[in-house]
Amino acid sequence: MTAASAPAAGRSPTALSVRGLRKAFGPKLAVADVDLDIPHGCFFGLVGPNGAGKTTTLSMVTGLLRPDAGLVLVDGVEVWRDPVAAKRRIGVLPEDLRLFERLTGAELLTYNGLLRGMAPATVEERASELLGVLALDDAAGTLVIDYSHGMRKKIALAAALLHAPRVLFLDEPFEAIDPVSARTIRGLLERYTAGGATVVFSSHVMELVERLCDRVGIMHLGRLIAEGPVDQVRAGRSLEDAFVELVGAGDVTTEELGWLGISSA
Amino acid sequence: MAGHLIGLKLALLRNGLRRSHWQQQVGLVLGALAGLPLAAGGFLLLALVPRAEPRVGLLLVEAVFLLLFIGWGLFPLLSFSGEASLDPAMLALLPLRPRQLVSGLALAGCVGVAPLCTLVALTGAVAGFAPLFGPGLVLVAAAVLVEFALCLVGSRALLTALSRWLRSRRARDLTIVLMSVLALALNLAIQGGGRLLRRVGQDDLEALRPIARAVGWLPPGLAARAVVDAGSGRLLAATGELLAAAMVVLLLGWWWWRSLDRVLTTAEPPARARARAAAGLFPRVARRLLPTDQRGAVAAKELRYLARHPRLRVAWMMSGLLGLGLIVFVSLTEGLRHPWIVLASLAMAFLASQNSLNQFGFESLLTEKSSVHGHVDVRKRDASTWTRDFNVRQTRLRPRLLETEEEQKTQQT
Repeated sequence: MTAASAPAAGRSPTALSVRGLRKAFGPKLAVADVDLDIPHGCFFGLVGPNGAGKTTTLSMVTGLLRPDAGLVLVDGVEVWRDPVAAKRRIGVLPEDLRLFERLTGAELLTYNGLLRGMAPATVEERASELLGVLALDDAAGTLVIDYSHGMRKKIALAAALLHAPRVLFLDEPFEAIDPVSARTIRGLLERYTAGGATVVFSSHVMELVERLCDRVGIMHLGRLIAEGPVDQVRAGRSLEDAFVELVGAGDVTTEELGWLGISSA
Repeated sequence: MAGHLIGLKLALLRNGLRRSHWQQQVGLVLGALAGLPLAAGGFLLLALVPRAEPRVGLLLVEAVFLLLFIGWGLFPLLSFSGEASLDPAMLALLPLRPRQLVSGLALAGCVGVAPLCTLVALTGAVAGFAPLFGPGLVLVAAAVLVEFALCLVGSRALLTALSRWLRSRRARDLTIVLMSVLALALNLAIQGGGRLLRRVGQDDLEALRPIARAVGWLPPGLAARAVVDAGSGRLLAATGELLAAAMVVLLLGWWWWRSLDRVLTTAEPPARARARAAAGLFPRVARRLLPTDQRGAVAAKELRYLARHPRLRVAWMMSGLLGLGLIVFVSLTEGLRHPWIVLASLAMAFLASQNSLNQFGFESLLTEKSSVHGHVDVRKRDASTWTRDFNVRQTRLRPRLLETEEEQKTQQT
């Protein structure tokens, strides 16, 4: 890993800066030499087919998975030199929602805030507000184990936002979320980025990325094969068409699965 | 920080009770209360026996310290999947340094029924060995605390080092099997151990001394020796043993810290399918025996599940072990004088294996979703169970028959 560290003199010019990020699991190269710069206040979408390396990349830039090589700076802090300082600046909604199942929603937020070193009064005030905005106030006293998948996503999002992080990383945030809640979350995130904070999220839903994001990165086989403003990447096409063209997805031919819809056994 | 982690542990314990039905709550409370008599028993054992019978003092305290150390290492491994507070990865998103976590989690680990019972039992050693005043009392109390720290830190270090593996499906399956085997082994140990203990006399006690000497060099043994030496006024030796045991606590703490550092920065990679050699639809051994229709498919699925489904694995292992255990138990206590014991063990194995004939409890959804008729399913499940029972009987009978033939030959000559 590169030992150099950018000094955080005042505010760093980028919210996230990645250089030569690499990770291999055994013989499989999951992330291969990714370079990326995301400016402050940006809504950045990371898209790619299953197994492209999105989750691995997000894990490495959030201090959860040590890379084999590369440099990651979040808001001027070198993540792998001081993961704790970096974790103070970021909020993470991971793909694998590992939550304390036997806490109520309100308790989960409270302990999250307290363990982050926040003042109890601030934690209480913010937790109550977040539960209200995310329509979880009725379920504040319900144990997380009894939440639906969508509710779990929302409470995990609230936990990620509680300490007002500078950069928010969300892995598939809209998966299993009902349309009403999705609209609420979109509004919340748009307001959040308007205040100068940065959102980086991965998704499979191209329409959503197209609608929400200023910039987009397309990953395939561990490499960032396209990155830039959304209009530039899609180049006059829909983002989905651009994505399919770049990734090279194969269509089902008429010869394949010919038996579908003909036989019942 | 430590205060918040203790609060978190208490909230998890409280909510665990809150969510359960009242029957489960009663069960949990009774389970917790059952620990207290055990703790009181441990206390009385350590407090009274060494005063009454000084010769067994060291043996007893070494045995109790070692058993507690092993218990603390083993039982959290078995309950890992069910208790979130044991999993350090739950705190990976928080800006906490491993050193903060080690101290906070160690203090939070002191909260609960198991730590309370352990401390109650260990306090018996203070009552049983320590003088009323002076440095001896301090050293005995310190040795008891070091033993507690060994249990707690050792257990947490082991859990953290294995936490990633313990979250895997393979580990959960293995846990189910291990718990069943342990329950059976514990039962046999209580049954057989009680009888053996009654036979143990003073001579046998002397025979145990070399084992006690060896155990005395293990970390819990060092703490136990410190207790006994401090109680007998050998303060220098006690101090040395205490320092050695405390050093092991520090080493375990260092291992815990290193493991935490690794766990917090090694998120699990995306699930990757383990390469498995392409298998035919039917298990190889049964390929020629089974018809290639719906009945064959059901029987093949059942045979595969015998090897793959943890509950079924437990069922056939238990049926075998129960039968074997009966023979071992009787041979230990009565000797193998009664040939009928073979029949009894077979009957026991057969009855135990019939538990897996709970056809409508196991995996009935698959049958309901497919168009296989119920009677086809039941018949083929029966077939696979009988095949298994037959195998169990064969493996059980063969050695016994050979043994009987040998006995007859010996008698003839």
